[in-house]
Amino acid sequence: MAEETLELLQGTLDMLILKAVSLGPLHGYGILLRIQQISKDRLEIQQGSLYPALYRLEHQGWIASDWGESENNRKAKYYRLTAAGRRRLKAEAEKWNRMAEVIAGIMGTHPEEI
Amino acid sequence: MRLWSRMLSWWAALRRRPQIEGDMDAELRFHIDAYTDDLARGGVPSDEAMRRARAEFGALDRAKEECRDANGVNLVEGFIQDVRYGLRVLRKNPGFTAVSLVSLGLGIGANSTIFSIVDTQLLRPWPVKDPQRLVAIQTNWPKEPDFNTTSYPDYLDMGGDVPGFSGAVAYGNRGGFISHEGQGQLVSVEVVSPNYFTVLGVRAQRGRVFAGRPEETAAEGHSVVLSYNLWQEYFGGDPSLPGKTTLLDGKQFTIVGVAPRDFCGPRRGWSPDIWVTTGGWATMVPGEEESYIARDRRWFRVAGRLSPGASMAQARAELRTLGKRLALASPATNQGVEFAASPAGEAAKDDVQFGIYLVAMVGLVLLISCANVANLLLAQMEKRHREIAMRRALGAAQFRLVRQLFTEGLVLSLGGGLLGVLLARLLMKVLPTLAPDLAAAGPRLDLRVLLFTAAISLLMAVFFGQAPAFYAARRDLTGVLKGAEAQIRGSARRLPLRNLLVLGEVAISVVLLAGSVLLLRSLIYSQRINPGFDVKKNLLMMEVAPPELYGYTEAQAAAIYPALAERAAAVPGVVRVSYSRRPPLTADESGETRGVIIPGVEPPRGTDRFRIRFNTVGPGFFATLGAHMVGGREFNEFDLPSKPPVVIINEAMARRFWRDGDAVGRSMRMGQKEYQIVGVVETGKYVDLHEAPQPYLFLPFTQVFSFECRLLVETAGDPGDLAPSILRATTAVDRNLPIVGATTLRSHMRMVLSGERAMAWLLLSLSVLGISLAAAGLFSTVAYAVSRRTHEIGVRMALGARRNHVMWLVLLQGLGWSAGGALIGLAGAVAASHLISQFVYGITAHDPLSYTISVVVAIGVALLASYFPARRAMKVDPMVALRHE
Repeated sequence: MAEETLELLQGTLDMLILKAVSLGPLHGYGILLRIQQISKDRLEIQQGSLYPALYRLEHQGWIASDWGESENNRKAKYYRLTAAGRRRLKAEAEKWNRMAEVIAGIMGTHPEEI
Repeated sequence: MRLWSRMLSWWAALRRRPQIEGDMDAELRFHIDAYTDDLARGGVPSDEAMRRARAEFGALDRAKEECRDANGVNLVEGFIQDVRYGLRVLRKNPGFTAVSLVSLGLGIGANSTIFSIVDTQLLRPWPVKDPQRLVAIQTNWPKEPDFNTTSYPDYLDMGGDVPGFSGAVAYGNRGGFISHEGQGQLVSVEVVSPNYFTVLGVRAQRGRVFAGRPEETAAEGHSVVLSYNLWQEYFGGDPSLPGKTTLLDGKQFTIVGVAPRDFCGPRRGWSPDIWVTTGGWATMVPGEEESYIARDRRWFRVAGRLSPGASMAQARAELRTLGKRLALASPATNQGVEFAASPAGEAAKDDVQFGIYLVAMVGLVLLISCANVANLLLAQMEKRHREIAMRRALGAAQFRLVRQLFTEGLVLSLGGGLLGVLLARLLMKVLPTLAPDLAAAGPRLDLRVLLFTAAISLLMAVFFGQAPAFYAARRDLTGVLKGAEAQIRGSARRLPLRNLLVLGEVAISVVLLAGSVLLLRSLIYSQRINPGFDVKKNLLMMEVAPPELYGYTEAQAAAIYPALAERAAAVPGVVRVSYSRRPPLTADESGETRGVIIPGVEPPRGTDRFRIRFNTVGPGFFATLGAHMVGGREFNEFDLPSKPPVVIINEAMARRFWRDGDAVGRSMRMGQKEYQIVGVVETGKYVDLHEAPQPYLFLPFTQVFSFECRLLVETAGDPGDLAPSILRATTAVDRNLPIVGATTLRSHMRMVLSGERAMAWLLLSLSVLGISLAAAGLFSTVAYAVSRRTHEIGVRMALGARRNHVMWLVLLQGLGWSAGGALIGLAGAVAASHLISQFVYGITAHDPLSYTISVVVAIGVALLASYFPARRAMKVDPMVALRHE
């Protein structure tokens, strides 16, 4: 039985997209699938909000896009990580890990430790 | 990097909007199709799969809109919309648009013009190699604190013995007379060391420049380099000129090349016509070798080029050491002489100071026109806030509205900038006639000026675009839509920002006015200075070409001046004729002095004689000029070479050297000769109208000959009318000896004051512009207040207020703002006065009368500006006004 799916935390979609395309060029739908696959379907992503996020990342120069051919021989727009995007992803991941650690620390505190 | 990618993305959004839309469509469709396929493959029936894919994706249009926001398409789209809308708004309010554009155009045009003048005179990099490595070197000699020129031998030591310099050049200015194919012209000759062009790193525009080392003074003794202007104007730009010969002071020279356009040497704003080497100078004037061999003939300016790695401080220290060494080695000439250095290319300090002042003042004018437009925009807002409230009610975002208003300001200011450029172009065309001094450096509208104009236009958009946007953004929606504004806005106290703007405009006008009144009063003072002769005389000054160039010997030439004078005197209408070497009051070659030994008076320490400036004058010179003899007589035709030498001195000299100034009959020595003082004349001004009284002496032309001569012809009527017949009379003496220039005393005096006059008029026109703009601003504000108060005025009148009362009510309000502004402006003007104190003569920069005048003028104009709206208020019909609600 799968766990209940989680709503995506505010502001983390960008990071997940960067992570997904860091593994290789993907089209928008592929990015959605990859995130769901990695998260073992535990994350709920609003499909409609994916594309504005992609456009924003591209506008900022962190990802770039080219038209290519999809698995089923259709024209699709493929996104890949740029050098700036790679740096960005690294910074975001570090920030996220620190944040997660701090929050885990706070949440794991027992009453007698205070 | 990221900014760049965004710009690219915006640019793409602007250029390829249809394609981007198509791509977006295709991409989203692909997503839905792919999802549908996946669902179908999972066993969902195909129409159900399609439905679910669409539903789970969400609203397609909203996603697209968010995408457009994300990649900047919307931003670009919105901007284009804003510009279109802004243009439409401006078209719909032609009055507002016209006034704003004119206001901006005037402000920006004035700024562009002033900037181009200041730019050419002070800012533009000057055309030599590595100008920042050039150093101007001064000699400070105790005898002549006003002059810091250097002698050629001292210069040679600077170039050779100062390791801090990789090279140094010397240059001194002299006059000359060029004649080519029968045409003659006086030219400004720059006498330079042979390495001048090579050290400055300047190549010829055509031909070549001088070659040679500084100590090879005889090198290039028959070569000249022409300035670009002389080449163009005198030689008609003849491209085959280099290699040809020309006559300079009657001696044959080869034109070796033409200097680049705008090249002025190491002195900014200076424009010699022709360059000769020191050897060339000796060719021009035989016997002048002395002038660059003697260590005490100091008339060269020096510029050094710092060696690689050397600092200014090092060069200064080495120059000090050199000064001390030379003082020990040649005490007779160099005792107490010191060398100093400063960055070259720095424009004269006065010019910089006035440049700064001008830029500040014209910047103030710009502020006024800015405030004016902001004011008008605010008034527009008042009219438009119903529209704006409606748009907000319909869902326009705050940001979107502010951006819209800002874009309108931008459109306006760019239009104003365009108008300003056109105005500046026009001003440049008339500048040579209005202010020849300022036009001399050749200011032009080039890319730098256009960039400057664009920058200030943008700055203005930012400045006045803010106010209305801020204002409009915080208005209360519902009140406006309900039409409650009429009551809310009933009182004029509700216009604090607009009042402040008007206040500021009046304040700035007072600052401008105060400056121009100070300069005008100073100009009037200068015009009234007694220069030691009668400036109102009808006098024609005619310059005779150097007779030696036309084959005259000295004896022949000495006879021709009296002959010319006699002929001119015979012309009907001529009262008196004399002649002199130099015109009265001239700054040209004013450094030339005579060494004077006065029995019983100790000369300055370290020297053996006094250095006194002089002029050589003919019989009747003082009577012709209207100068008063304090004692003794003036020169007459009997002061011949065969008689004992005589001299006339001025009162300042007489008082300095003889008790009670009783000098007539005394004697003094110049050179080997003993001179008897036959007269003492009132002290005048000789070099500069504002100089302190200085000793001066006059030698008789009949005894001390000069090849340089001006006829001074006093006429009964307008000297200009008589000029042709006088010219006919003088050509009868020798038809080949031309008069090379004729001017009246009046225009000569105008030239003397031209700098001061240009300053005063320039500032006056700026302040007139400023006060007119401020008046327009005040007028519109008061008129607006009146139109807003129509209802209130109607009530007052219905309750029995008298018409005069109502008018005063309005007038006093305008007066209140302008008086407040004037007071603030007064404080500002006093604070700014130190900037022009050095250009103000005869009064102090804190002259109370000038400040009073400017405050009175400002308030007067303000009253006038509020008078017209006040009269309209007076004519309000209570019935109409009350129904207005």
